Amino acid sequence: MENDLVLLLFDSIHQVMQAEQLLERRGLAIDLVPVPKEISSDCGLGITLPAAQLAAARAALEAAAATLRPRLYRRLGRGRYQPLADRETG
Amino acid sequence: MIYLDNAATSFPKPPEVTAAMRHYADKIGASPGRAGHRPAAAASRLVFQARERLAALFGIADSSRIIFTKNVTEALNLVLFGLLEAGDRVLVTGLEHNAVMRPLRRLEKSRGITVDILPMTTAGQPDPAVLENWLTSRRYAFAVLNHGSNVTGSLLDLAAIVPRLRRERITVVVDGAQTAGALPLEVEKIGLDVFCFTGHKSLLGPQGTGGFYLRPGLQPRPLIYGGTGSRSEAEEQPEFLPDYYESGTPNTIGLAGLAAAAAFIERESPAAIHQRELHLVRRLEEGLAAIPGLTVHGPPPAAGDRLPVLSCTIANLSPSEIGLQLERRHGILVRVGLHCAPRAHRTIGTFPTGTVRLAPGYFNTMAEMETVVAALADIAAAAG
Repeated sequence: MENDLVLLLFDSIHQVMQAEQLLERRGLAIDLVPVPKEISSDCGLGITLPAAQLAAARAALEAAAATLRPRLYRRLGRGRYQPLADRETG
Repeated sequence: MIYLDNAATSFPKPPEVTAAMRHYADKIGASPGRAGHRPAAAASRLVFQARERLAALFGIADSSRIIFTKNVTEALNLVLFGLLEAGDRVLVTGLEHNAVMRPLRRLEKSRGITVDILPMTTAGQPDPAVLENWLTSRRYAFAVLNHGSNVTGSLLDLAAIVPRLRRERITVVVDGAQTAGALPLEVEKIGLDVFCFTGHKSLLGPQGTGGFYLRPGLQPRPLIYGGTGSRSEAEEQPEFLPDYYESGTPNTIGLAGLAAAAAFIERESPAAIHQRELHLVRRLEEGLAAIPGLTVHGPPPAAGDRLPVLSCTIANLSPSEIGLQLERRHGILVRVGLHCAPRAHRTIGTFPTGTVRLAPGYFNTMAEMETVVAALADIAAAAG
């Protein structure tokens, strides 16, 4: 379901690629998506994954590199995103 | 044809290098880090893989600290112009290439830096007494060190010299043009601050690729500024790596080839590649030593490890005449002259005439080395 998706945004394409490699190796159900215009004017890529896998994803990223701290958004529907509050981010 | 000009650029390349470049050109084509579509993601993965594989090859933990440039000359320029300030004193070896000497000579004039050139032993190491004397009597900000000579094939003993320089808090920049890909490297373990490399020599990748490693905490000014695909809303350059130094569309097709080349080297193993090339150059050393009238310029065999680069001259014959005869009569391709390294030729006493340089590579054979020795024996006999 769309509401169960979380979007991860990173500073650079290098970080996106690094995160993609790490999360794929963990077997998480990730997808590379264009950065939504509603959130950022950046012309790159973000990563979505099921909200249920967010805690595992964050643990994997933080263990790999201190710099891999994505901004997190919950997908509410087509073109609608909401920043995740700290307490929601696992 | 026997290609012995691998110190200029390696040839041939492993077949997977051109295959990877063709795959990018025919099937991907998009710009990395500049769009959200799948081909752009595929292009971004290629560039990322090139960085990851080089980091593994060089012993670097964080691949974002590898910055791509178009060659090692650009990497050295970025680092030297980005770091050196007025009043800085810089230590260099007596075997530097013009990729180091020309930026430094320019900086002497434009920023008032001072450059001290170390005298070298016949084994290609800095004279230890002079080095120690200078380190105790002068304050150096930087050392720029040629890791492997493109003229003599001598290898600088980094494990011996770098810890001594670091004790003096000197920032160590290494020119690895000839060594990257040619032998096992542990850039972070040795303690280098900057390691510059090119992709098209011993890394076996295409021309137009190169770069440098930057240790954490060091931040030279960029050489160019512009679009990076990141923080596009800002008119200020983002300061995170590698974007800070990589403005504009990169050489994706070249980096696709470089990634494939690095995978090839990893598979064959840098140690095995080095042993094979050492075997070839040792045969040249032995064979050439027995030719009357021919002089080999460089570290004596007893000096230990070396690169597959060897310089020689023949009495009464100019290097260009030797090169011409090698090509026209024997189908052997070499490089003659000063090899863009007049400083190195001054150090070994072959300036301004230069030498004939024989630089075998991974794909040369022992039978070819025999042919080369016989050809030079012929040419020397005719000249004598």
